[in-house]
Amino acid sequence: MTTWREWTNRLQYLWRRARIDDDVEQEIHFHLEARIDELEASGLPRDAARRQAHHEFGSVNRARDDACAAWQFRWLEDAVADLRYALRTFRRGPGFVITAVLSLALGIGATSAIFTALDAVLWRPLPIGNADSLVLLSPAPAGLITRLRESGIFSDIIATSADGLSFSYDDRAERIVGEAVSPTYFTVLGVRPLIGQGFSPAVQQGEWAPEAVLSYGFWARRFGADPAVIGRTIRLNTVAFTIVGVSPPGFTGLTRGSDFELRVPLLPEGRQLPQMRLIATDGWVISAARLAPGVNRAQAEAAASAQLREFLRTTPVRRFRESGLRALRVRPGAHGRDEMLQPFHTTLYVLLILAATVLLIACTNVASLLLARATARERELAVRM
Amino acid sequence: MSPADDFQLLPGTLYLLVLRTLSNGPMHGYAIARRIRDASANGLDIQDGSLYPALNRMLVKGWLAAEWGISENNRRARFYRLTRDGRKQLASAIREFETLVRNVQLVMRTV
Repeated sequence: MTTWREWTNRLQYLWRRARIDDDVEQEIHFHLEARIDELEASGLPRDAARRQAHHEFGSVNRARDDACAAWQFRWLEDAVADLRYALRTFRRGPGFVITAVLSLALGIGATSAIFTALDAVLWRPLPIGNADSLVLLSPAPAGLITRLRESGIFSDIIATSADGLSFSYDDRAERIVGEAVSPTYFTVLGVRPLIGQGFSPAVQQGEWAPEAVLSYGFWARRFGADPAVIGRTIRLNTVAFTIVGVSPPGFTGLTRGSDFELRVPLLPEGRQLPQMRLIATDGWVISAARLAPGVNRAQAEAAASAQLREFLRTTPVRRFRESGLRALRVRPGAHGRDEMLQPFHTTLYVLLILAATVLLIACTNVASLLLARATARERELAVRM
Repeated sequence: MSPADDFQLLPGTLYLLVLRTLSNGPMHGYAIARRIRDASANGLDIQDGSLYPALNRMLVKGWLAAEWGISENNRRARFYRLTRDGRKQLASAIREFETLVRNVQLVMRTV
């Protein structure tokens, strides 16, 4: 039973070592003297009494060492001694330490910087709820999404489409890229707005209203991260929109490597807003979905492709009919769409290997420095040993 | 206390002896040694020296407290007394020891 008390008692030893050692020493001395007195009183000569007392006591040195050892943390004291030795050596040759620390710092810094970049870009799943159950669909006509939603292949499906917009607020206009998304976009992805409510319940149920959710980056850049932006009016291609939320910092949508400035709800099918072609549900959209329970990805792909062919056969829109599209691909979506980053994959990996090599070289350098120093101090060490 | 010293002792017996001895009141190390020797009528061959490592281990565990005082023959001596933890330890050690003895007796009778 090693209790807390035992540890604190031992810690005292680090400070009061001399006192405790001294206590033990004196106590043993007292014991022997007392025994000698007693034996002498019983008639033994002083010398014989001393021999007898020592015989009964056993080894004084061992008793003392064992008694003191009861207080020690061996490993801690060894570590402290090593640290002291290291500091002494540092004082003697700071140049060596600085060189070693700098080269290791450089290697570690470069490696972790590249690693962090690769992690953010390639490895980390999207910051959305339940990322593993998300699947991405290849581009499809917007009209198909409604059919897929009704088909029951997917438990949820959302469509997105991004384009340039002219944004104006506060009499200052700029060109931004906005994303038109299904009104249930944030709900399906499980992303809660940082501030504001997000798209209103009415909008989510299919009743369109001019609402916009800003991305965190755009909110910070254009609005100075002002929490009072909720409810303000902005203009997109001259249409007035109300800000209803700001998406959380880590969230940049489903497309890796892009961070669209804001998101607005897609119009219900058949409706048009002449100033904003983007939000009309009549073009090509990129969609993401969650598979219905009991449906696997291959089944979903086959069923969705069948729906697509059926849609293409009956659609009145010529550009869809003549697109030559035959199948819809359904692939895992935990890492989002990274088509934009695909060209850089090799470059990023090469950089990582390069940085790792730099670290390796740094380690080799430090190792040879240590070796050189050890050679120079051969004599000193031999004496120390 | 090396294994050779206490091969006759069950583990922890020395602790138990010290705790039991000190339950009558504070004592210095030499008196503890003498009491143990008397009480066991020289039957236990404990070298006096092995008492001190045990006492220090018990100080670390917090079962004992020690302070310097004056012995009966006017020498500076270190007096030990039981702490509250020490009393608890003694009570539980006695219980354990009795259970052990009972079990051993049971085995001796039945086999």
